[in-house]
Amino acid sequence: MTDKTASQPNMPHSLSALAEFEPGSQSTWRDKIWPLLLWLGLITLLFRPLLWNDIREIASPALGADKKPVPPPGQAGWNLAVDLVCYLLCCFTLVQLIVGRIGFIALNTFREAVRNRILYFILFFALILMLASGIVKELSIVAHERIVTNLGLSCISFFGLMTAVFVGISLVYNELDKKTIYTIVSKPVHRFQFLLGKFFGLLLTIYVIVGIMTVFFFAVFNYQAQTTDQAVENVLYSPPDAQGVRHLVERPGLAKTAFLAKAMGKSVAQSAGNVLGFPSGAVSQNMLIAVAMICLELMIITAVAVLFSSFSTPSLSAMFTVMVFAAGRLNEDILRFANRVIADALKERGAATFAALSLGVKIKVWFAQLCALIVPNLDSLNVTSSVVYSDTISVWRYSVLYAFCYTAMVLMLAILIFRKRNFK
Amino acid sequence: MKVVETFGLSKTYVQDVIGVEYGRLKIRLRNRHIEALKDLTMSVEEGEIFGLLGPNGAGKTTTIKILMGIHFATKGRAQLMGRPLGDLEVKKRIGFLPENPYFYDYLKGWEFLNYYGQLYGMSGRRLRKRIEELLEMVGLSHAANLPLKGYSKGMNQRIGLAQSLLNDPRLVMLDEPQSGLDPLGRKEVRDIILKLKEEGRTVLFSSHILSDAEMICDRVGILFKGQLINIGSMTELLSAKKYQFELVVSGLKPEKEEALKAGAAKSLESDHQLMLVYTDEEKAQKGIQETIGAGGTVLSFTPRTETLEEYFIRHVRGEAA
Repeated sequence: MTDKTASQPNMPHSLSALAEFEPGSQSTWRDKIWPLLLWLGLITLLFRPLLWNDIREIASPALGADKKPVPPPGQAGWNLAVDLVCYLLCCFTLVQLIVGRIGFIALNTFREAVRNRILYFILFFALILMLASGIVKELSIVAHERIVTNLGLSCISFFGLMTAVFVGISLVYNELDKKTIYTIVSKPVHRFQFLLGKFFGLLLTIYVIVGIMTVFFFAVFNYQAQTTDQAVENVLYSPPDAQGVRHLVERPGLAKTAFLAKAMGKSVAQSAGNVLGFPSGAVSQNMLIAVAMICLELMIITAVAVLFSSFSTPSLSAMFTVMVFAAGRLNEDILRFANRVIADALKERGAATFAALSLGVKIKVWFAQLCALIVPNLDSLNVTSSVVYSDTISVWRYSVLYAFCYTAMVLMLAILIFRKRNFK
Repeated sequence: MKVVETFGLSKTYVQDVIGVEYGRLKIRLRNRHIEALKDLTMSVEEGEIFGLLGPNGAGKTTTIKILMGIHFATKGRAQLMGRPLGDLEVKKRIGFLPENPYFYDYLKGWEFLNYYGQLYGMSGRRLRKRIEELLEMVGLSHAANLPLKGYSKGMNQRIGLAQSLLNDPRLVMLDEPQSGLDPLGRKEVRDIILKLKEEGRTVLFSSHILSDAEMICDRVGILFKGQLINIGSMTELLSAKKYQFELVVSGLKPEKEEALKAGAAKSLESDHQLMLVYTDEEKAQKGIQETIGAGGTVLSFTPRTETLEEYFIRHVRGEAA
């Protein structure tokens, strides 16, 4: 036996299968501690906002954006501690990603997605649509910047969703359907690591797509800004000669407005210049924030896609995921509906408090509030309109935290379902 | 030392069946319970080749799936290397080849093995060397840079075998390793299994190709309808007694042939040849002498022991009766 091991230097294990399991070698603790820490991290992240005792704020951060909750004085230290724990656990998660097998599974998932032709079709159409914003904006005589911005950001969000749905949904299902999961499960990999690997791989794919689209959008935006500003200037400040007429013919919609403004006087012409062209002139920081928020939104949607595909067929999961996205975007309307019902009932009954209302109304309101709580609040992450109308955008800390917590919660649910599943 | 141990392992699959009864136009939902495995208690010793045999649907694959943690047992428990199922330390020392394996068709052969090696925590030069060795061993060196999409069934089986050996496992579980292979491929798999045993590994495999199993197994367990009907070494299961003797002769006169036929239990005549089957050794000897005495030629004489296949059929018939 000994000379056999000597002749095969690539065999580090001793030849007995049981020899390495000495009673003292408790080498499994690491396998137990990592998932535990990860779970603890996810759970802490989930309950982190709850510590500020305001569940309604979590359900709809944007509604209460103006009245920022002030934590009671005694809680500041407590919050700091929780923050620290959160960050530590995030670090642990990162380490687990690198050290554990999740990273490898994620990379392989990314490779699978990149070698899928659908991805390139999605990207192709996204870029075409962004290019088309140059034509679409001519439909309007004013606010070209708004149109280009709105179209670009919506494009990123929409095609990100398409990637999550069309590429993402089949990723988990394929492994189950083609039984590659059998060999994965037989490797020293926890089931939750497999699922998280799929999630992170899909997220990586989506973020790469979003990155490409963003760069393209910024390029298109800057190009549009330059050419349009030039055109507006040409019309506004050129003498009414043959040159000025040519500009008029070239850009009829825009130029007509500019021409009219010019006819109304110098000050009007100046303010028209601000409205007609691209007042901000270049890509703003707000746009980057909007893209970051889209990324958070897509993170939630990806988690939802992984959840559905962990127990459902691809077509059903695709449908569910798109529905969740739509409902999530309407989340605040659900709450508005609830408030409307309350207001109407109060007026009708002449009652002063919610408690005095009838049970039917209460059930309606509770149901709406429950729906708003369950469905992801994507409204709070959607800052596109603020960016488009150049409002000051306030990214509320809760919105960001909410996105992470919701993702963690959905992933935990997916892991729970996946944990004890018999693969057919 | 026992590498695999199961204690009263049972698995019941629940299928939702929508039953439609035309008689009274009733539609009702009900669950159909399928007992795939009933109370399986067995063990596999270290260093042996253990064959899990049985017809289709006997519960072989279910047993292996439970042991690998793909399915969960309804009742009972099992241990691998003395530890409960699902222990990652144990999984590091196990190789597994599923039935009719199918792998990521967008990966190249080499990439695929590299990915699985990474899942075992291997990396760098050690992994690269191991992959080269394994590709050599299963005869796929030429296809290392081809995408798995273009692999034939036999090549898939081979790359599957290679991935199950990546981590230099102490226990190798192979689910129908020889299904879908041509005779040459089956022989190669057989040789690989024997080589694994030589290297001191334990091999547990399932098969319904009994002749192949018979050649290499130290011990077998026979499953039928989810129940273990017998377990033991080949010599224990198959009686060593020669139970049948086949004699092939030629060059005899017709009347002598008739006389010989009368003495044999069974006979079969073809052009110029006569095959006689005896169940008694003495009668067979007499047949040989008579043939030679009458100027005939003895072409062959084969005493036969019971094959696993015959044993199997006997048992399964007995079970059904």
